[in-house]
Amino acid sequence: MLCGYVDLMSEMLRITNGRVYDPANGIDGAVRDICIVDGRIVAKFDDAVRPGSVRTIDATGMVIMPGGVDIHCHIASASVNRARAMLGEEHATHVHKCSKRCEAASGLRAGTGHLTPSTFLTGYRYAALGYTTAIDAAVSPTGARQTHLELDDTPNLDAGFFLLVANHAKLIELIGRNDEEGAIAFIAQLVHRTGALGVKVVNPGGVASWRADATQHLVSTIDSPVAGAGNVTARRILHTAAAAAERLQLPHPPHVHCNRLGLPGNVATTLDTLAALAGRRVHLTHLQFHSYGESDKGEFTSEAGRLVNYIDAHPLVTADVGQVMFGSAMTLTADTPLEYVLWQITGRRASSPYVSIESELETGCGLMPIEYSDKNYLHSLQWAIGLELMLTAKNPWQMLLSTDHPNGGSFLTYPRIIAALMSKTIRDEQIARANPRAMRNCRLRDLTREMTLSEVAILTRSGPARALGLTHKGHLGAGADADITVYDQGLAGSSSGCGGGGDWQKMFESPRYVIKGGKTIVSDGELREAASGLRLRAKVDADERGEREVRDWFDSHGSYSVTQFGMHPFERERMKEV
Amino acid sequence: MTQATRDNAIGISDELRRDLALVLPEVRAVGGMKRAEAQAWVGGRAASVEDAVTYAAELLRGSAAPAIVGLNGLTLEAVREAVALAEAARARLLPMPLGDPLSMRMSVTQAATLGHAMSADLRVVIQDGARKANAIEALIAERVPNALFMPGDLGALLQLRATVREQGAAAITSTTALPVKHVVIPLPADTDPRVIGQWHRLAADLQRAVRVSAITVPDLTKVANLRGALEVITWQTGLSCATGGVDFADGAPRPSAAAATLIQRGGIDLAVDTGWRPLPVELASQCAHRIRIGIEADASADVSFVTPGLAAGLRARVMRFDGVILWLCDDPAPAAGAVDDPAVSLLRRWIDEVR
Repeated sequence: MLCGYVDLMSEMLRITNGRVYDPANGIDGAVRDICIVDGRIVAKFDDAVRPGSVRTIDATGMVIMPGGVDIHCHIASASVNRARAMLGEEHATHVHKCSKRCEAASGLRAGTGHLTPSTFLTGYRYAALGYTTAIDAAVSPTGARQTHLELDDTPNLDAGFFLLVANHAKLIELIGRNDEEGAIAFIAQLVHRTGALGVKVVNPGGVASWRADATQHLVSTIDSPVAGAGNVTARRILHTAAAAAERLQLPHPPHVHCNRLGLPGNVATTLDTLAALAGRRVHLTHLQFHSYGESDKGEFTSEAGRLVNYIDAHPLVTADVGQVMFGSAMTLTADTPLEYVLWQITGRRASSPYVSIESELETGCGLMPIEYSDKNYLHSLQWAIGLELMLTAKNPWQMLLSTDHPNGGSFLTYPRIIAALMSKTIRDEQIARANPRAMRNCRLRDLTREMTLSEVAILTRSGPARALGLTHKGHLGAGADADITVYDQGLAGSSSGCGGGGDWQKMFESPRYVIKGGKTIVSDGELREAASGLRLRAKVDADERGEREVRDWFDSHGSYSVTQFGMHPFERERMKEV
Repeated sequence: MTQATRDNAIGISDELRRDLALVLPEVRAVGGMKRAEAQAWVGGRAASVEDAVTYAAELLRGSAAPAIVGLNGLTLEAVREAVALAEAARARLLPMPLGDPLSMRMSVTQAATLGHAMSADLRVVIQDGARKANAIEALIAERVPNALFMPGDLGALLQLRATVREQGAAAITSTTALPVKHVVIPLPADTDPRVIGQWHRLAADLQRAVRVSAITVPDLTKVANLRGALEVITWQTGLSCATGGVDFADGAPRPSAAAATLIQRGGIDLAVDTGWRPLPVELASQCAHRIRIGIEADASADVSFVTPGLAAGLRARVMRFDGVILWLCDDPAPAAGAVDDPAVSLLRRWIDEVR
């Protein structure tokens, strides 16, 4: 402090004259000033602040939103790195380089890739879309160290990850012994040691079944017994994960990838899963892949309506859609039996490369490239279901945008999706190119809703932040992190906050300014520098019981010492507790 | 001297020694290093690290075709800096030995980590009379005593695939009286890549009836932190080094031919030699200049930096062949006495000089 003035070294910024979309605080396009001090938003500057010490961005004609929050993506893990290696041709052609001067001045690094960009490039590209927070959705306990290292090399994003727990052999064993206390303590210890933000439940019991018995590719219902595990079922695993999230007061509820992903008629399993967790907070991920009915002829149909009706009536449920986009994608999942079946059905015929790796009796990962075609019945239906889910949900806070990057498509397609949500005209153009039979078997053609900017802000930042329990993100109120995106509404060619007349894709593709933690990293539409991001982890009370269970596990089954498992206390201390 | 006393002598726990023994051919300690400083030689004479870095940067700036070669002798932390150096100097990254321990170029990969492999109930042993099992194979053998011995040639394997197509998984599982649900196939790294590919295909074929995973067991005397180097290069550049390396000549990472091919063609004039072992003489002699970062002074190099390499006691990490990341010290907390890897600060200084 100098003479009672705010430290002149601290960065102060005022964004003025912009239309603010801050749904968490009920602001819908009002012209407001946003004031920033030391990486946080403040209601107003202290009287002691010298005039002239505050940098000002004039946002006249611009739209101001909180920085984007990606609730479900795959950007930093051993399996993502394997995907990068598998997509050699794509990486050889999508190249980003820095001039020597740019590199020296800004520290920006070169990289490659579109579907699975290298780490530095991932951070740059998210920032260039106005996203400042992203959560990797599937990390194995043993793989957590690699994820942290990759995130260390992913700038511009505050990031965390969900820990794969539901098929861990030790957890299955504890549930089989009816030891819920032990199971919760074990989960607590895993989350604590690895520095995870939440727990991920993938095909509960299904991966463990396949591990124990190769003939058990598919779980029939959530009450089917897990192979080799006595009375353990998906239902019991779901209950345990939900109980753990509640008991441990995790900021985000269990992040659930239901059983029977991608199969016709799987809506029954999805509804069973929701019913099993009725009255509890739960987040269903990539819901589109779990929204299928089955016609008399065994054909896929859309059951988005049934799921939307359920979710509308149950405010404790949130979901992200896992929108499919036409073009190249990379399937990358911890659901190894699903990936095997997918390879058997489609990939093998197409000679697609296929990778399946089992990890330490914890989980596994499967990978295979895929091409979504608008001529294909199922792909077109999947594309339509994703949009249908978002356009029919009454409460956008519960139905959030994701592509399950890179499974449904790249996160770089978000502006295209937003444009389709905001404009029926754009949707109709896309419907005209899609498989006609698929379009007849869903409701998309009949939906006239055009989302507003405020609703888009909910789908892409405020909603994900709230679902993740990130109270300092997704809004522009006092105390929030100064993660802010300023879009030039002139690019959209529309002065209103909604409707089919604007080129919303263009606007959302090219933010004019992006501010990360108070630092302006995108200015005049150009990425200027890289900011280091925070690591977000759940604060968990991990007790001695869990410690004992983890030690027992490593003593009996570990291929390395328990002392080498997870993050050391000094590493965890450097992360931000949520 | 017993193993335990020897471990005490180098000041690391038995657990750490056991873990690192699955990565490194010998577990050395940082030893008496009190300061996290590298040592340097220029033209065979002792020099200050500052002078040596300045000279090394001059060599790098003056080189038309520089390459950072080896990389498997560096910790993960140092590899991250080495990639940055290559980018700043517009150099190549050429990890050695060539050959990806997980065979990233295969069309079908049905693999597993060591912990999963250890839970198998049948182990397929590829017969090779001349080879002695290494620490990884020994551990699998200890945990999976039930073994089926198979010849290692491609013809026999293709015959087995044909038999499996006719008889199903019983062609393998019926070889033992015990019920078999999970088979592991440890494949020595020097196995013909076509054979490795066929084993993975067979493993994938069998998945409907029995769980099978094929894992390539590296030669620990050669690979050291190779998997770690490959992973870091891939996540930082986006490129796989399965068949070569990465070239930053135009400022962007591009696929490159492999080290041996390039050097033999005279395509590298300066090699920054960072391998667990120095470049073989026949390759080193093809480079006009060589800068060595290793655990011993190298009088034949233009500049030689001596660092602890992958020594136990460093506050740095390595990666096991199956992707498990291990600290080189028992407690990496800053106050716990572990030594920062001096290769990291050395490479950072060098980057600053080059820029």
